[in-house]
Amino acid sequence: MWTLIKREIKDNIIMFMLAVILAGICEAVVVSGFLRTDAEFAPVGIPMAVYMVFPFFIISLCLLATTMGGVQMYLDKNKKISAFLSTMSVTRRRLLWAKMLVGIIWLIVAMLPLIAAELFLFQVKPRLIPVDYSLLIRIYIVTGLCALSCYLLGSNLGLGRNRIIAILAGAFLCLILISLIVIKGFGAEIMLIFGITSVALAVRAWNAFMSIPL
Amino acid sequence: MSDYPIITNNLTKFFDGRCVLDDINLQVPRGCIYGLLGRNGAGKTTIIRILLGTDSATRGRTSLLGCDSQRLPANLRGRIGYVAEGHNLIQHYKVIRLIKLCRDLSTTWNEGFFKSLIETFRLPMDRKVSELSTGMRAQLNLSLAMAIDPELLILDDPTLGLDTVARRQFLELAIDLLQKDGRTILFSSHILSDVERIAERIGILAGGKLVVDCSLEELKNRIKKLRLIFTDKPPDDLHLTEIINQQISEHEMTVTIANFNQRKMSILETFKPQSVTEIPMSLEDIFIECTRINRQPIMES
Repeated sequence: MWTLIKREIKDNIIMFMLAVILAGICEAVVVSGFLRTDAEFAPVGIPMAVYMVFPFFIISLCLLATTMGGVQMYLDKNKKISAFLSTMSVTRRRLLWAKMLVGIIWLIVAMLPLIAAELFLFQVKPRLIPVDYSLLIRIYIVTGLCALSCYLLGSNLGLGRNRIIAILAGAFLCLILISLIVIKGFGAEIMLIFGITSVALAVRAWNAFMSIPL
Repeated sequence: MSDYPIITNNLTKFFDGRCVLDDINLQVPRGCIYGLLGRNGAGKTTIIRILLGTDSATRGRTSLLGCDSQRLPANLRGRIGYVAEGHNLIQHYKVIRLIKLCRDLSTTWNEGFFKSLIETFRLPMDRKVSELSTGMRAQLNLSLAMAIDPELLILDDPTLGLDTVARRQFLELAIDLLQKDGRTILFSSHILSDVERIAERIGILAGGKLVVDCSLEELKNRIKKLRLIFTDKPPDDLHLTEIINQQISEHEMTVTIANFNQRKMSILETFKPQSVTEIPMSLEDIFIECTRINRQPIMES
């Protein structure tokens, strides 16, 4: 399994680099927001710069997650890599597990630096207005679940035959998922919606991958 | 341990409403080199893909090494070597990286044997797989398949793109491998001379059916092509079963008959031909005759 995971990471290294770049840009904005002495604060005690980085981060992360899922599946299937690997000491189940685990590692790589940086800065630079940590946690849970849904959406679309349809449908459905955050906010309801969406898309991707010709 | 490492039971496959494989029943005994023949699109690769579980059957069951093809566990997969038609390796990898991946995924990697193969084929390690010639890719694919010391080797047109010398090397290696106890090889090819050289048993696919499934020797003994000369016009109907092909000209009839025996000869003699001459047939001739229009099994044993 470790060999398969390593292979997935190496083959998708560009997507990992894009995740690091996204995290780096957002971190730079967050750090600069904290360092500015005249920084404006949002009502929840978070600098405006930090507050404003979220929409950019969520949209970019979700679009990249959709791309990651799609690229992982489409390229392997199209270049018959999965077919080649499945003729070795590897089952389809292991192949899919490796892909999914690497997808989750990718999400962690994209999200964790920003979360860690914010929590660290909030600790070392005390705010005049108390920070609403529960809101921050909810924002990150919703962002994570939305990105996971988008990743699994990409995985499903990547198993299709038509690249153009996969790209267009991926972008469209990804934006619909993101727009649900605008409609529902960061409450428990949206977490449930994204949770159910993720489970449904994971089951669908599993069934499709286990039965399609490789 | 199953006596038949390869089994298909009533295997049927439809593609877009078109029947590609129609009720195929095949059993390959342990230690046998089985040559699977058929014209382009006859379904050879489809059978192999279904056997390996990379595609599914519309109806019927297949098994490899005694286990259902769709549920082959990793340890059994590790005992099956496979060389795919077109050599579907990971094209953007360097040769050395692909070898390392295969070695890491394998449970029974024979490094010494693999090194000897690589030295024989003189494969460049630092080049990308996509930069290799078709022949080199075939050699790399074959080396990777053989390095796992396979109990069962499935070769889907493996000599396609190889030059004469490389083809000869490949055939000798296949024979070497078979000399180890209990090895079974399923071998599909367009190059009939290769099949004739190494196969013990032959299967011919035509019109979705397995029209021939018997030993090579039996096939050659039992399919006869005869030239009959008549003083008058040849008869329209010979009243014989298992006629594969029949051509009539003014005083001459050329007929190819399966399961030819003395009884059939006696029936032919009742038409009082002036002369009956047997035309020698190579495997290629037999293949061409068998794949003309037949949909019914010609020879099974």
